[in-house]
Amino acid sequence: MNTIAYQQLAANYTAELATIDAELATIFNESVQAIAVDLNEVEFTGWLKAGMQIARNLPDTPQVSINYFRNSKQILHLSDQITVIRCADIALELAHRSPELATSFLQATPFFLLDCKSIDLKTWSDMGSRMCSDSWKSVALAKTFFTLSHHLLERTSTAAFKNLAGVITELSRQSVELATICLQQAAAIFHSLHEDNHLSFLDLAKAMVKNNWVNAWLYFERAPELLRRFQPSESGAFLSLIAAMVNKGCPEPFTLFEEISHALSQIEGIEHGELRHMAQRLVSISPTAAAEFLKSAPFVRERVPRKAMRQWLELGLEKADADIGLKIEAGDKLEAFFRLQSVTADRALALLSGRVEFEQAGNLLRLYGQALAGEKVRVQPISHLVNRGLGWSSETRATTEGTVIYVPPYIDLFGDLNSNLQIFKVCIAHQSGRITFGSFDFQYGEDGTYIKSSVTQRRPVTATKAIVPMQRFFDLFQGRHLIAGLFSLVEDHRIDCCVHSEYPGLRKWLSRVKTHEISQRPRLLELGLRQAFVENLLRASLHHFESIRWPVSLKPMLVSALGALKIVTRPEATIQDTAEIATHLYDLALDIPNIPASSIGDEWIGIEATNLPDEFTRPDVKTMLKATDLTGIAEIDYENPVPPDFYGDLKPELVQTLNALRDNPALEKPTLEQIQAMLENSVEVENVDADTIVEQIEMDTPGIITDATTDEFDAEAEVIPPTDAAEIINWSTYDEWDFRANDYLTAWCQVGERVVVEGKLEYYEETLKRHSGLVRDVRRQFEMMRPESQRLLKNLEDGHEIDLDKAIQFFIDKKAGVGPQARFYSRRDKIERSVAVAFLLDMSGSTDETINDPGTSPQHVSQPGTVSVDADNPGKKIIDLEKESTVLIIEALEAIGDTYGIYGFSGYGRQDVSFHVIKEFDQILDDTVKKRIDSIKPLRSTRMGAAIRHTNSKLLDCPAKVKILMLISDGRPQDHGYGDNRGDHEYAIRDTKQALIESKQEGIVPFLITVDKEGHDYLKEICGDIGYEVVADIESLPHRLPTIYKYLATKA
Amino acid sequence: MDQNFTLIQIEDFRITEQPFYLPLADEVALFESAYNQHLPVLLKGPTGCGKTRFVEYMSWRLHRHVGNRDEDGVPLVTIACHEDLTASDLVGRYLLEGANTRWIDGPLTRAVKVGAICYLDEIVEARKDTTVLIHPLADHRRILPIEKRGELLHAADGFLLVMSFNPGYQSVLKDLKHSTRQRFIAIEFGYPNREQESEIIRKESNCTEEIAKHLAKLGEKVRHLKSHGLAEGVSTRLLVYAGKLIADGIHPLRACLTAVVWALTDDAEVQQAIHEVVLSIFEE
Repeated sequence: MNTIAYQQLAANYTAELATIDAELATIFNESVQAIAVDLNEVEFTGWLKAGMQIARNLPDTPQVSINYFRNSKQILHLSDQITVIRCADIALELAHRSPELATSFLQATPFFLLDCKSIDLKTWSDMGSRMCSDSWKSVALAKTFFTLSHHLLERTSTAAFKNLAGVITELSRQSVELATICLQQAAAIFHSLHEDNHLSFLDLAKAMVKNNWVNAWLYFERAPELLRRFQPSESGAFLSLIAAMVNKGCPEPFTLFEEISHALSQIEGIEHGELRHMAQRLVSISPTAAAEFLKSAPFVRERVPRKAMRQWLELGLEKADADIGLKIEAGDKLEAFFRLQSVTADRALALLSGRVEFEQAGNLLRLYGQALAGEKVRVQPISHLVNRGLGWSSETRATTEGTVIYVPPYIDLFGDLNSNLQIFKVCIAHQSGRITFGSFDFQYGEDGTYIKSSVTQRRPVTATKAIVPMQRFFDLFQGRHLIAGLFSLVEDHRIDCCVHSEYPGLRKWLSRVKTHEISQRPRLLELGLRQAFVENLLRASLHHFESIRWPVSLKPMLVSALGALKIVTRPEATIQDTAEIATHLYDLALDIPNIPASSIGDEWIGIEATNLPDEFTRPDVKTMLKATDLTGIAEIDYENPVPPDFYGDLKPELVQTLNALRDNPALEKPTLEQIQAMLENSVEVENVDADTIVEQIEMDTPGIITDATTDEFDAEAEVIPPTDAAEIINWSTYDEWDFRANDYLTAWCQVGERVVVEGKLEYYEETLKRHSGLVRDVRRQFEMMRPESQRLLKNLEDGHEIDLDKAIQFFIDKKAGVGPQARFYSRRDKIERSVAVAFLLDMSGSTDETINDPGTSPQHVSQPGTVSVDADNPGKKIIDLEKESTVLIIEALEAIGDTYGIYGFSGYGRQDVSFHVIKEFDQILDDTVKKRIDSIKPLRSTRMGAAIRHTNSKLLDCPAKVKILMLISDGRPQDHGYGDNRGDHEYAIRDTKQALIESKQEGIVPFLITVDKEGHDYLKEICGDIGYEVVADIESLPHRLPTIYKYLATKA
Repeated sequence: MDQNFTLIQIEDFRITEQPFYLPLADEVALFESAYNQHLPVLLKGPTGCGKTRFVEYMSWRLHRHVGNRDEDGVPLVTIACHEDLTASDLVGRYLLEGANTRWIDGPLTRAVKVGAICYLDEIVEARKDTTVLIHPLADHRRILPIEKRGELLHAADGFLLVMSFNPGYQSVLKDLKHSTRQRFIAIEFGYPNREQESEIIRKESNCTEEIAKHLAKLGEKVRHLKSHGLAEGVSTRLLVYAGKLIADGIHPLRACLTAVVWALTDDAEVQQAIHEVVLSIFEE
């Protein structure tokens, strides 16, 4: 059949098609001409019929048949006539869902067929079809799928393409919009990811869609960027690992992925593989623990060497194994361990890292510092000083300002804990040496022990009047930077010698740290000549003469300097000697040009520590320099060598100024200008301008500086709020018990102790008046408990008095020969009642509930023998009853004379557990206390554990023999972050239980009272064998409380 | 059977050998003056600072040097006070002897009779009703009423009442009544300074001068921790013990651990802090 025959055959249909759509008829004719050559008659007829079927079935949407006819030729070229016919069938099928979809399918087919790999046309169309539901959005999604398919297939494998379609279909069930966005991103992702990783990427995508589909689009959008943080060869494996974690239940998958990628970005790529292998071991036990392991890896890695990471993992696993016997879930234990929230983890990390953190060894170091430097001296981390903005800026170097020794946040110089602790001690000993051996006691013009003062031979280079002697001394030198550096060097050497002699036990460590320091010193030939001169002096101060090198022609100069430096090693050397030696060294150094040391052609020789002169010598520097040809060599900027870390920073001028301002009221108050001038000239102030320091000094001690003469300063001064107006909060930190980890979370809760503000005295008095009958009754009961002051003990072998009756009986027996025991003495023993009780009131928001609301609390009905609800005051709340009970118990305790404290607690979150003091143990009951009771009010949450621990510590300070803790609450413990979520009561209950167990272990008798009628449920769990009572009839609390106390105090 | 101990009556006890005592200030002159004028003396100071040694030294010194008034010297009667110390324990009591009773003088009565120095150690430990008993003895009257016998005993010329207490760790409940304390002149004792303490340690323990210096230094440093973890600073007595152990061949670190660190406190953290100080002063 030739083309003309085809055209004749087709012509029969053209008219029909023209009635449907003119364009359709045209396209049809064009298509016939194009395709006719390729098909035999049967094939042609089949093709024609298929097209006509579409056209007749979809007369209203001719676009479908147009695209069929238009694309047929291309499809035929890429496959065969059968495929073309199948296309028509599929298109017709799709058109039933949506003609647009069918159109899109037909348009995309030629492209798809270009590289369809092994995917069958029907399979492909089904993928698109599955994405499509009834909504127009889903149709759009499926259309996008058909359109993008060839791009995707160009970039990925068949399997990945199929998986992607599955993920998108799944996601489209949740949100078609998100599915569309993800699909659009997919091609770019496949492009940026290595093909090997595509399946892993989709694994995690699948897990994410299943777990938390909302974040899936974030994953598709940000994955390429986040994956760049992984070592390229590891990214696929990490994706699979994270997918496994998510499939096993890790929540928030995208956040997890982001956090892990962030963590790994902080670790060298070469280590990623090892870390992944380790995490994989954990996944089967606990996916969350595996995630925590990776997230905390940078923190751990910063502290432990690479090879110790495996030990870190093993220690965690070991710990988990050990606790399986205790029926603690291994996963929870591991999770807490790798989250670094357990004491065990802290210990393991400390052991592996060898790093000693001030935070952990703080108490020991504080005591050590106090022992060495005196009881008034404190030891604090350096950050405290830097934050005060007084001119110190280094966060890592130890220092002191005369009253506080500031130490670095941690020391990890060596690989083991003990060595690093000893280096902490060396740092503290050096700083305490500055205080005890007088680094800040310089007096202008005073002679040293070995050298007479030479200050009179110099003239000040500045006209400003000095505030302190140290400033006056530095004012004598043009090169202030140089003299300050030399002064510090000499003084640190003197202090080091004093420490060496005072603490022989530290010598070994001093030597070790100096050897380490020497290995860190710069190369002499890379310095300026003057700088090399000073650097050599510093090396001598570290007792490492073997590291000294100096041009042979200039030898006498360094010998003279080393001889001078040696004077401070004598036992009686003082700061005055330091100043004179620094002056001498300054004069010597000033003669040395700071030309590059490498430009000296001389031989560089060592210098023996022996045969140094015992006094100052002044070699003829100029002649020596003439002998060395230095013409034409330019000088470079001079910088003082950085002192060794264990010396820390010495700022004598600044310290003298601060001390003088604060400690010496007799000192003539300096003016603002004087201080500013001093600070501006001083080379000791770093990174802070003089005005800021002045402001800080004024804030620390108002009025210390003479009123400023400028209005500008007045205006600034007004802005500073009075510090005493603020509430005074004493913060304490406590551990919290994590039952899942079976371990304490270290320093977890911050308890802020505040004194309750005073209210009205009338409240106390009115409460007494209102319950006068009950008060009398309770007082009488308690007075009966008061012990007699003396107790008579009879039948003693020895005593104060003879019981005559018994003595006579004894003699009768003796004469009768029955050999009785001589027990006829009696004795009066003094009895002292020694009971201390702490009342801890729940001041949580829930105590604000009204109690006599019949609708909510049917149990709150007055009963005989109870305090009736005030008729005039129908809105009585739980807190009101707590307050009334407090008034009553106070009256009772005053009658018996027991020591008691009254406290309240509330707060929000672990960072602010507020502890309110109404009455301290050693406080007498005065109007202040009575007024405070009026101010007890409902506040926020109930973090019982921390409040109990704080009360325990207060009770422990009491000397009483019997200690009782009574906690009065209205419900279960509950707080923000007290458990995984607000509904997780178990964590809070178990922590409270643990706190009560701690009370018992400390010898305190704890007792819980709750007015929550549901209280039995959880109190049983909290208390175990600890006493508790549910006061179901809440109004009987004021009556019940003294009874319970009486019982407890007697029993205890 | 050979008797390898000596038994003497309490009132016959005299210090015949010179005890080592290093005067820290003018306490010797003050005591001598008080003795001459019959003024009772209260010695205040922390535990182990040398109060008891001072009394022994004065007893010897008064016996040997100013004892011209009394050829027999000044006996020293020491009574360690405690909660159960009764008036009978001090003054005396009747004992049964056969079918009869026999009166026996208590240590205070004996001291009054012979004109001894009566040293009531840690007086605040005794009950207040017991301490009231000494009031007539401690003022111008110098008499001891013996209630059970209906007698009044005038103190012999050489009699002096001396008491000691440590104001540091006593609670308010155990403070002295003003009517008691205002009958005594008070001499305050503190810890000796480093040089003095070093000499005391060396003489008492026979250790080397260097060890004595180190121990005195340790004492000074550890005392800085008082009220920062320690209720009381380390006593000279403990430092002497450490010196004795060292002189006998025990390693200084071990000696300090047993005589200072463990003896001072049970708080593990404070123990470690003190131990670190020891490690800083003595070489391993």
